[in-house]
Amino acid sequence: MVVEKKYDLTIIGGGAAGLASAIRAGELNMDRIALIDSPPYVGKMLGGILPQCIHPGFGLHYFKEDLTGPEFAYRLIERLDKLDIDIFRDTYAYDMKATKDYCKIMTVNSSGITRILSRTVICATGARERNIFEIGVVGSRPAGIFTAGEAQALMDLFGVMPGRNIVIIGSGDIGLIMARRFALEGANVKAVIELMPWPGGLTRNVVQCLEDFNIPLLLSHIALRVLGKNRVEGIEIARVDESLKPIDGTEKIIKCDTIIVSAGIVPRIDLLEKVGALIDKTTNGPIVNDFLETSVPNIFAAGNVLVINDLVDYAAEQGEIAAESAAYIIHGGRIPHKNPIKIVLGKNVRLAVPQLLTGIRDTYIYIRVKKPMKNVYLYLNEIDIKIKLISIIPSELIRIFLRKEEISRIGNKILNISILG
Amino acid sequence: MYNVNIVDKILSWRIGHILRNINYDIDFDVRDRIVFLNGRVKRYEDYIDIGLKIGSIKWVEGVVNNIIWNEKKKLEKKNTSKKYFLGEYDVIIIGAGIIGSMIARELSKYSLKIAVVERNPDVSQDVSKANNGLIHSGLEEKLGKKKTKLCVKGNKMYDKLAEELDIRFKRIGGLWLITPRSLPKIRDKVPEPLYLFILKFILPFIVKLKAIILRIPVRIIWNIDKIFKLNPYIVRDVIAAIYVPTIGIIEPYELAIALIENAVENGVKIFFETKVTGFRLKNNRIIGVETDKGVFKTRFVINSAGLYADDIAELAGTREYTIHPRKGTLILFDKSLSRYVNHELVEIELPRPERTKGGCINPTISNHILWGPTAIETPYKEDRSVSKEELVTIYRKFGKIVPNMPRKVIRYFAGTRPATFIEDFIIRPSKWVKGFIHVAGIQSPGLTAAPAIASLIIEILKKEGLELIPKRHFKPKRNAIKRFSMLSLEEREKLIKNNPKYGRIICFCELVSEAEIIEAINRMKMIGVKTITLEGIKFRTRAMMGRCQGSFCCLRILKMIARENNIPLWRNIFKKKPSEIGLGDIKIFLR
Repeated sequence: MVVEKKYDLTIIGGGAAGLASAIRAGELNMDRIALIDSPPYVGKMLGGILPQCIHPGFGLHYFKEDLTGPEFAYRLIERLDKLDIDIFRDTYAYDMKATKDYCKIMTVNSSGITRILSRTVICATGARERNIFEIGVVGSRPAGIFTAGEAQALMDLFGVMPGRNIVIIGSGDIGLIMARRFALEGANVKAVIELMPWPGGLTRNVVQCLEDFNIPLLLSHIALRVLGKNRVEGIEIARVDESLKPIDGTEKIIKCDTIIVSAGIVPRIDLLEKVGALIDKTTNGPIVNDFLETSVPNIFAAGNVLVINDLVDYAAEQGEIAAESAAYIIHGGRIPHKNPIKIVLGKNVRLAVPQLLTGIRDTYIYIRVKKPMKNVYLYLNEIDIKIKLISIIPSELIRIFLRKEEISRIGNKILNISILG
Repeated sequence: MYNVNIVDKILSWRIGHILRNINYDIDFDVRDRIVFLNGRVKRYEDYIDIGLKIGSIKWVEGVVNNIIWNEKKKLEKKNTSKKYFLGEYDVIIIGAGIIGSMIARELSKYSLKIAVVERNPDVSQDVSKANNGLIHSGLEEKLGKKKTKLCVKGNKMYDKLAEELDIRFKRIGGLWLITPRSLPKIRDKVPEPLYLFILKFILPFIVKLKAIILRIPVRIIWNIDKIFKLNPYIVRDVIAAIYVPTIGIIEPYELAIALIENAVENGVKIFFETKVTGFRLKNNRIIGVETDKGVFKTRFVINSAGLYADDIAELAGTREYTIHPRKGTLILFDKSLSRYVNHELVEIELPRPERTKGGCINPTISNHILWGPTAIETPYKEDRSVSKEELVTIYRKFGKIVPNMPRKVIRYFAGTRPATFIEDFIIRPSKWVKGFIHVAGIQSPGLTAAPAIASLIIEILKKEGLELIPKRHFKPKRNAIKRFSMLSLEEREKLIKNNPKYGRIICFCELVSEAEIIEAINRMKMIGVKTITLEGIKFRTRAMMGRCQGSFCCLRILKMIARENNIPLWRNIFKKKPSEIGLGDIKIFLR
């Protein structure tokens, strides 16, 4: 017989967002909490992807300290251990169904299948990396092509050197960090290739990881074709024009034995799709309100499954908000679903989370812009708010805080966000 | 003998006539209906065109195209290891693709000593792994070809085969759409009402007539609502459709693996990573096979070497054809789109573009969707690279059939077909060497025809003097690896209780457990695989085949292979040697 367990709150995912929400939920006097974790690479370790992120840059907001990934995760795990939470380690949640009273989660681990009936769920399943096919690189498929995260795990968890002569596709933060890691291990990073005319990662990473190690960053370049039979032998790249199309005659081949794909990450929404949560095409994550509740009542989302965060601190913060929302429900609160305020993306705004506001609580809004800009203003016209931004880039989320009093000034249920000079 | 010479003379006359109209100076020779071409051309396309022109002449049974189109081919040096005697066998099969595996399994029903020699580390690696897995009806083939007959026959054999081997097989049926684009050549020449009349009332009956000749059940559907009910997302201007219920799908590598597992259980021996380097003949009769690992003694050789069948035949001194690789590219789409395609979908276009059936859209047995393949001539047998142009061609061509299907691509890949210039299968005993049997040029619909081809080979071997005594203890049944993803809740529970490793999910996208991966490794060892490759695990378990393409599970699987085989993680092989995953161990002193 399948074991059945009942919980008030079930958190799926033991990374930064999941750990932070479990801790917060534990602090908020919720009795029955479960945390389900299925680590991507190593045995029973909690912390999601953090254990392999051995570089600093974690926790500046959350702990007000600059930590490495493992340190950040470990601090959370230490706090978690003191709380009364059922942790399902090395357990995979493979199915989820929403009924009126309960959300039914099917989990499996080496002791069997457990059906979890939970009144609320926080989905903190994180993201997965885009692969070489999703970015349209053609050619052959020999050994020596890794995603950045794979390469990181190989080096920093398993101690395996993936290659000696490296080309990195994409200048997102993971790609930049990996460029430095390779350089530190004595590999030759031949180039980092970026399609856009600006780097995809944080400025501090461009400086500390590329410039300090003399690694060339080729902006406005596209990776076209992989060469090689058994092992990667090279990659063909070309310069692109303003519409991101390759320019004829600019093709050239860089010889290398390893290609690292760091072309962004996408939310892992498999479970949310199964319960029929509505998905936002700009974030690829679920549409949520200011309680971080998805379109399916009592199911919340936090961390990278909600929106790709550039800082772990924001993911943890979202985890806490989701935990507070779940506690609010368990303690008898109700989240109004009728006539929410809709956030409309205006000029230069690529995405904004949450997408809906109930207006009954203070909220953070996370915003990503379309292109780098200097000395511009963020306008929230409906509530007469204008925020000066000195320098913004697409790789850094803008986070603004709105009080419910401010939100209540919105008349026509629409909040326009735009960024103008 | 007299007859043969007359045919050769007629052929010489016709070929001479054709070659006179070609800009190049091409010499030729005809021997026992086999045409040998010699000369020099400037472009590879000319090499192909001339070959196909000669191959299309009636009575030509093979074209050996020695025309040079670029610098002279470098001959690979082959080292025979004469030191080791690898055993005596009644039949040696060269190549463990679908065809070789099918023949091996068929022959294992008889009291014979059989060996399969494969140059790759695993089965189904070259031609057999990259195709769309369709079990064709035979209706799309030209009348009068050997492959058409074998395809129709093979199709009928799949239900039993799938049941015995425990592989996934589903007759999804094909829906061939007639649209205003179906007859482009007459579209502008006749008034529109007439054109529509032809499309609606004449074209379907032409197809139906062919089906009647081939005895393939089909149904013409004129009711548009019914067509949309079958496949709600297809193009709106469809005029009529032809439903072909016998079309099915399988996973080709799953079949090859199952066949070999079953053959091995019935006594067949497989020699992996063994390259044939020559043959031993006595009085023009095969007596042995030389390889880089040693020498076999044998009486019969089945040449099912796919892309390399011509090279192998050459080694035996009986080159009767040239294989010209024809590449096909396929695009695989995400599972979440499965509702967009319920059948094999084809937009009928007549006359058909040359050299290919034209590809289709079809669901796979694992609920993904495939578009393709294309058909591109390539001079390189190993060329399985994908080009941007081909992807664009596929999008343009098949995008018309399901216009609103989102393009959530999981991956694209290419395979090479072992095409011959006569555009038909070459299945017959060698004309010049006794005991050597060709099974060459098996391109599409080779997968469908495979069971019928194997039966045909049995007939041929019988005629050639091989004694076939049915084995009393032949075991026709083979059990597949139990897949967590395909089981009911109760079955899953039971499995985990017996083997907790069934509860550890390794591949998240395709829901593959640790137990399945270990079982795959063990089964690879069972059939004699020496190098456990990542690819081998992938094809046996579906791990790494989902939307993340292994970026999560690949490393855990590598760790498992390393553990089960006692090798360092970085020495794991991706596809074949040398393609190690890493280039070194930087923490060796911590271990």
